[in-house]
Amino acid sequence: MNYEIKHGPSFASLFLNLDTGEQVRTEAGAMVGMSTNLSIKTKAYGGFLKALIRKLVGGESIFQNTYTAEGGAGEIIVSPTLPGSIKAKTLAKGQPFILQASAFLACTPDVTLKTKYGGLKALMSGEGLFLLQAGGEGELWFNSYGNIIEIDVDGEYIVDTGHIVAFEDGLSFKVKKVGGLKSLLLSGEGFVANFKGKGKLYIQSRTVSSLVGWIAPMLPAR
Amino acid sequence: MKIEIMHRPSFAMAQVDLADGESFVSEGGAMVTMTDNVNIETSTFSRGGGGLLKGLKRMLTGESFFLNKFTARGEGHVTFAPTLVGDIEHISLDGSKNLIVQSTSYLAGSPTLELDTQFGGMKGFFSGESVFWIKISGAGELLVNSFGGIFAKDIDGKFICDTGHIVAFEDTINYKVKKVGGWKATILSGEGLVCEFEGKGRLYMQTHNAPEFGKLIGGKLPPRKQ
Repeated sequence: MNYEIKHGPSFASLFLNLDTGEQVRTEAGAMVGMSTNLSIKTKAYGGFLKALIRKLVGGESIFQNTYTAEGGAGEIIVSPTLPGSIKAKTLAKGQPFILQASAFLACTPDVTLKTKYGGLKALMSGEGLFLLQAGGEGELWFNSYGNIIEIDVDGEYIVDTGHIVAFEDGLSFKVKKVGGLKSLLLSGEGFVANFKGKGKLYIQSRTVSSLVGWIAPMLPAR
Repeated sequence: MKIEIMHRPSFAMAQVDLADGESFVSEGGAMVTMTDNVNIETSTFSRGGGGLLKGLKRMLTGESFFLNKFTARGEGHVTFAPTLVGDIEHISLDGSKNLIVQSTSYLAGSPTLELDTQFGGMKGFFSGESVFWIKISGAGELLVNSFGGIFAKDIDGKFICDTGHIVAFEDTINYKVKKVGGWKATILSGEGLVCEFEGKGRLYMQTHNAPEFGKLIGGKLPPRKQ
């Protein structure tokens, strides 16, 4: 298998070449184009019930598709719904990787995904933070709205909750107020994630909720 | 005539330099700037007046009813930009083959090109995407736009493309709309029906899917108040 990420950072798209029998699993609806010898199988991931809850509360898709190159090599092109960037992460055994549910784009078949709840505080932050824990071995591709920025955290670091894309297992975070009560209400920041530990943190340069918040008041009343 | 595309790929804008008497045609609302010696004429025409019927057909596609024709008196230029963020591709047509353009991807072209709206048929309807294509024939310069980046795929045999990612294709390749897999995959995969292209020719695809982006953002917007 080989791949290339093209048209980034604004419109990143994943171009994958599969050898005979090789597989790739993708987010539902992400396929742009593919060879005719690729077969498709659709399955709920992270357990059907959890996936359903995630769908109802988080608006994420329940299903993932597994594409297999049958009887020869084949290619597939995969894009996220939002304009932005794509990054690849090679997963090793015993080194899970956490990503925001909407950041998942694709992975090789031996990568496992589990739904994790960001907790009540995360929900209060207004970002509906459902997390996915990726484990196993293989390659994982994740996407953002805007560009992806990689930060090496050693100690503590604060990120606006809406900008979190993914982070390594050596990091954990707590949601907290940005400052005093005055800052909380007036700073426009609200709740933030306070990261602690050592590892790589991936953030996105824009958030969908800000875009929505900007557009919504401009809609005409009917 | 000289065509230059600037600010690619995110915010592409095309500048068309016109010699004395030369013209260029665009969809309504696409003009950004022009020199003051350029004359604009609005009609339903395509190649010397395609008439009311073609305008009406175009309106059905969600495109504007009217096209604008820009003609320079002396040397001048016009710049064009699409509504959505993304790229513009310049395609030169020599008249030997026609190009089928997804209706929202047409931006502008030479007045020698003939535009004809085609109903994609019921198979297009079931795919949940635009039912209409614009068939472009004749020789001349054409500008198409995309939501996201544009890339070309030279097909020799078969290739599957999601309907929301088609920009244009040469009519030497045929397509049929089919299920992406079994019924379960078709209903639950989020892919639904796809276009299977067959033949030898070039397919232009876009990296992103505008209706899907619209649905994602639209779903988060508050409902309109009465």
